[in-house]
Amino acid sequence: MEPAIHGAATTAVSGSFEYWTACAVFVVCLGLIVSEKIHKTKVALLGGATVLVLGLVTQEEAFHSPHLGIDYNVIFLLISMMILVGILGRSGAFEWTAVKLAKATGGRPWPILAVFLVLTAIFSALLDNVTTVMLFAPVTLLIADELDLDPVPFLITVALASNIGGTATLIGDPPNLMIASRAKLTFMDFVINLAPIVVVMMVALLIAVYLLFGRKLKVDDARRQHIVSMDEKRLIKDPALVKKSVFVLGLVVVGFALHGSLGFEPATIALAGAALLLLISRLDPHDVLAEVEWPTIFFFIGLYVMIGGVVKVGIIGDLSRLVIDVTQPSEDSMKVTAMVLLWFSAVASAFVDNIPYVATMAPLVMDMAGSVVGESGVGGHGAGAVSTEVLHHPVLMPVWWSLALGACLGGNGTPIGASANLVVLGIAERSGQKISFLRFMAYGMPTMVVTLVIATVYVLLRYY
Amino acid sequence: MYVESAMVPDPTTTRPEVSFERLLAGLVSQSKSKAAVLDGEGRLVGVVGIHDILKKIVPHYVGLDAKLMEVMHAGYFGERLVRLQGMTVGDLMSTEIDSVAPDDPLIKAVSMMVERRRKALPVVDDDRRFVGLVTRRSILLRVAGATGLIANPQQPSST
Repeated sequence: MEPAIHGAATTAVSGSFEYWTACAVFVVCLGLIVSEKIHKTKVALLGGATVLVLGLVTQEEAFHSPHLGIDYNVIFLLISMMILVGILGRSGAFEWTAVKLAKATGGRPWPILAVFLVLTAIFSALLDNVTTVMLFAPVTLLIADELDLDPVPFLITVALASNIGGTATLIGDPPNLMIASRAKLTFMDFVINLAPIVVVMMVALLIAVYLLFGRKLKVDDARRQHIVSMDEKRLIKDPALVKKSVFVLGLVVVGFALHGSLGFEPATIALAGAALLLLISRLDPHDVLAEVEWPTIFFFIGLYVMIGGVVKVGIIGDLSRLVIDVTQPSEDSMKVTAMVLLWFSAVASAFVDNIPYVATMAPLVMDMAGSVVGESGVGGHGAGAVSTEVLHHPVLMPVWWSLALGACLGGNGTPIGASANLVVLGIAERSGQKISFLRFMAYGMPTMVVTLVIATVYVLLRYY
Repeated sequence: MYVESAMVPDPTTTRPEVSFERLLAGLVSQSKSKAAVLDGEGRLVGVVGIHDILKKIVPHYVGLDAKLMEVMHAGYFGERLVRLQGMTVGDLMSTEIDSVAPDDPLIKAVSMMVERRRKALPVVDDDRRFVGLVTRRSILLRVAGATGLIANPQQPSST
């Protein structure tokens, strides 16, 4: 390929010692994260610390700069949602809902599976996917066990539904959270632009699951009776806690829906909800906070500091110019850019953690925005200087949605594509139901491709 | 005082190829909760007992979500127990076992039992050949008898 990074000279430090050092730190850390030889949180924190120690970003920038530093909107949104879900998870409300609905199907396996997939998608849209599958995988195993059915197809499709459902909202999947924060998009922006097509994808998943194995699932009446005779009330030990949790979660969802018009960031809504529930639940904060996935939170923190270094020295600006050269966007249309980003993001996210991917790509798209439709047209340092008008430019919006769709849906391609998949695989293995890489891919890859085709058609029809 | 002096007289042993049904019958008829599993040369290859059987019938998912136990059907455990038919001692036994040697000091056995919450420890020689078993009771009886704390030390038993 032609040396496309012709604009490198426009950034003050391109080619300098800092530039190549940041490059090296980024590449080595990304390699280590992908190799899974060292825990990703350790790698990200070390990468962040290295960037700070070498002075590639200052501590002031890392902690306080809106465009080079840690995105506290994402951090506090994650922590707050983990607190809310941690308390709700204790209440037994999830299990109660799942068992209640399983009973309503009369214990018939295909309707149970269909209901579980829809339920997983809805919960994944409102909560994070990992939590959702951690709550649903054990109930799914119980139902499959009571019906004496192979739990593996149930478990895999629950993971797939979780990744599809999570695509629908701002809080559904970390890539959306990160994109929303960078691009200043609201909860309703996601609901309006992504949720409709996610519904279509879920219908496609249900049809595929029905045709492939759902219709063949058969159990005798005695087994069905095991489900029908379950007493779901026994799952709830503290009815008051259920009421409080559901009430606060309801408030939070309403708050998310209105946060744009109320003028609050999503993290403010979530933090207020978490604080309120922590207070009225009367639970010990030590116990509740111990359930927050701190390694994930620190992974984000380390990653943001490290990416800050990469943005500051101009690497993202150079990559942005490379993408511009390849996809040739104009002020009138970024169609090719959107399509390339949709499919490239999906393939990348199927094999690489989509969190560092989006952490890198979101500033890149911001930089491109500045270059293509912005006032400055200068990359490199421009990533933080892009105005909301430019970020929300009609030409750019489909690019954001393509990035979100690709990064979220790509997670279904392989077992390592999404954290939800890894959680399901881990639970399956410990239950003596080891799911091989290829067995997961046999379900996941076709799902990824079909949902991407749907996404492609959607983006082209709706935005072009 | 050494391990050898506190061993029980008639430890229960079995073989890996023994069926689950025979193991169950043996444990019940001899009122034992555990048996040492020996290969053809008398080497210790594992330990099997009621705990291992129960472990096989408790599904892993209830460990992830204990609330689910509330709604499992009443006959679940009986059904799972019946399904163990056809399995062998080799399928059920634990192979990660602590053991002591006959010439180990008795305090070493006591310390291992306390620290790792073991009720009994198999005794093996340098070739891992099974030579006996010490239990908490057999050790206490041996030590208490030797110190005169109890008047007539009974014969140590394996229960």
